Amino acid sequence: MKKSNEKDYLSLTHFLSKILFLGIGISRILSEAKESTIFCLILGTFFGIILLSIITNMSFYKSNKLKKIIMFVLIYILLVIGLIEFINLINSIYLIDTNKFVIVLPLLITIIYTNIHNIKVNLKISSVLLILCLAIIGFAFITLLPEIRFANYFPLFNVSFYKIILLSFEFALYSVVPNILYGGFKFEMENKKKKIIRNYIFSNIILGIYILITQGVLGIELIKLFKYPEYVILKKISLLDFINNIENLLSFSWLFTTYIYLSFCSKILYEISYEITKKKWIYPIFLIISLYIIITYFIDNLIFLLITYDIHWIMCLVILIIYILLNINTFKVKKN
Amino acid sequence: MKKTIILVLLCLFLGGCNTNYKSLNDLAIVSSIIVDKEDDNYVTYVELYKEEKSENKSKKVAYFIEGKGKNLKSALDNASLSVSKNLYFVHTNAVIFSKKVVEEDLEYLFNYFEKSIQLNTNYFILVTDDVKEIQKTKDDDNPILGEKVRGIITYSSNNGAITKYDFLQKLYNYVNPNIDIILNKLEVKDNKITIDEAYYFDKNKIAGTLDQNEIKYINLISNTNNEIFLNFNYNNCPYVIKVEQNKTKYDFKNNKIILNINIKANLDSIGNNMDLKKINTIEELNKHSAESIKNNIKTLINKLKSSNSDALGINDYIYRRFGEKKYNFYDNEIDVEVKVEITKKGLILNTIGGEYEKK
Repeated sequence: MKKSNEKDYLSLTHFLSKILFLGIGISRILSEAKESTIFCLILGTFFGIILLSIITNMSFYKSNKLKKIIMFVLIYILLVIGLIEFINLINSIYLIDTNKFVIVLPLLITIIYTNIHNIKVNLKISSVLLILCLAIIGFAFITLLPEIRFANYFPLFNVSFYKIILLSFEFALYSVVPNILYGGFKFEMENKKKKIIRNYIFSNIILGIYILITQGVLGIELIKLFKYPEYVILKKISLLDFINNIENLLSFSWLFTTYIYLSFCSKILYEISYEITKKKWIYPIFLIISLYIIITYFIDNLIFLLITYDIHWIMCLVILIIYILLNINTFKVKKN
Repeated sequence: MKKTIILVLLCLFLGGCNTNYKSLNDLAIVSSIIVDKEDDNYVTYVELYKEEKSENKSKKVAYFIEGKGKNLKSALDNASLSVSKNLYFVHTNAVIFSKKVVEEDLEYLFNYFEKSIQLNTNYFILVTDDVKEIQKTKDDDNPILGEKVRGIITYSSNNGAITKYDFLQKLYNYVNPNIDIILNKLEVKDNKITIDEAYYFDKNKIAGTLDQNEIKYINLISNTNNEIFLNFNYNNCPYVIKVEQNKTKYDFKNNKIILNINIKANLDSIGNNMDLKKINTIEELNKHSAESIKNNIKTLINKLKSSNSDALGINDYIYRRFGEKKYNFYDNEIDVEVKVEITKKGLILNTIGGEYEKK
């Protein structure tokens, strides 16, 4: 395989910044910020850049055993958060009657298979899927433009300033927290920091347009009714009066995002577990058994899902704080 | 080799479809659903269709299956008990509610169909007065009710006298606290299924019916139909204009809501005794049609106001613009200003018996 270049690493930012918006982020921001969502997107990106510039100055791949165990737990929680939304999406739109663990198992096996190989495999998949994702999103943008009702963007100031700030911070958390995975890669972050931030802004612009199109097409009142408004808008796509019902195909961009995210979470977990235990087989078994328990006893539990929906951003905040406190010693300030 | 075997085994045993796989032959495709209520029980009539072959010809035959239940889910489940196949709702064209069920449970109906993951969202919802009559009528044009309804709403040359919104757009209006919905009325006239009128609502209650002409003006004000034909009579001479471009603006002055409508129209047909070569005639038609539209809209607004229904969504516009209810559709006076500009005559050069021939 060819050597992974910088672009392969940077393609990750798009997936990492988007993943926590699936199922929770978009519906929460839109239904809480209402017509003032656009301010949250702008301020959120600004806050996100600040948080990201702190995170990208840290890494944990060289830290000691205890820190690595804590990082293992944090990333495992992030993996479960991403997995919950993935399972619910598949279980709601594709495989309604299928057992949730059966949905996850092929994905897990694929992820474990790629984990055994070098990280370059994951990076190549990521850069290829990025092109596919952007093509799908571009197609969705163009076809949805005529469906937009501009009235849905007004009145602009519909919530208090305090709430806008709070939701902007929430937006920043969703888009930044998964980027802590960069800290686990064995490469020098310092010279890539600017490029990561540039990519983060680019992916936030795409995400922002997606959110604004969702708002323009559905309107806030309808968005409040749907768990996946980002999927429902795709139902509106109709091209030349005969290309209809292609929402399941277009929602693949979200599935690709989830796959890349989960595979990178898993890769770092695999690396950490290998460094601690020095055994390759422990992690795959741990992953399958632990996820079986979580899926059977928690993800099937509606009360658990409702709680996670409400405390989603708090979980992200806690993960971020622990990450920063844990790795503050690795913080590198660029010397002139 | 090992990898290939693993991959084949994965495909065979871990495809999620294994547990809920249904082949095409196992599906009964639903074209429309009729919902009624009898003695506190929901009654659903699900329209299915099949191909019937006779003497080298095959034709589609539609039939209804009936189910009763305490709620919609159980009514639909009970209906499916009489079919040996799995009901497939994705291609549903229309959901038709009886007037009774709409009057009693509109909120529940919207709630149920919004959450139903089996249906798509691009079907049409309609109301009918006579559920039995609708089922009995076998239209030669298209024997499948659902397809017929979709055809009428989507393709027929209806002159702008039908609201073309699908379920998702109706739901958008329904959940919006500042808009009252309008639902097309399905009825049987001269043994033909047709959509001639619409019900307009005051929140969840039926406030009254709108005729074709009134629906045209609602579509005109809300810019929701591309082809609107308006009929007028000027000095005993009938003429029709086709709205080509339409801009509706709202102004707010002196405690009044002013509705400004600018129309660019095409003269579609015209009666005798009009000289279209005279500039005056076109100017008079512009003025006359503007005045007629203004009067008709005023009558419509008064009708809606008296029924306490904001089917035009004026309150929503006010909310979007001011962020608060500074003005109100029900309380403030509404003035209408209409400007019509006939820009095209189409293929009409002059009329038989017009001033042109008298010379």
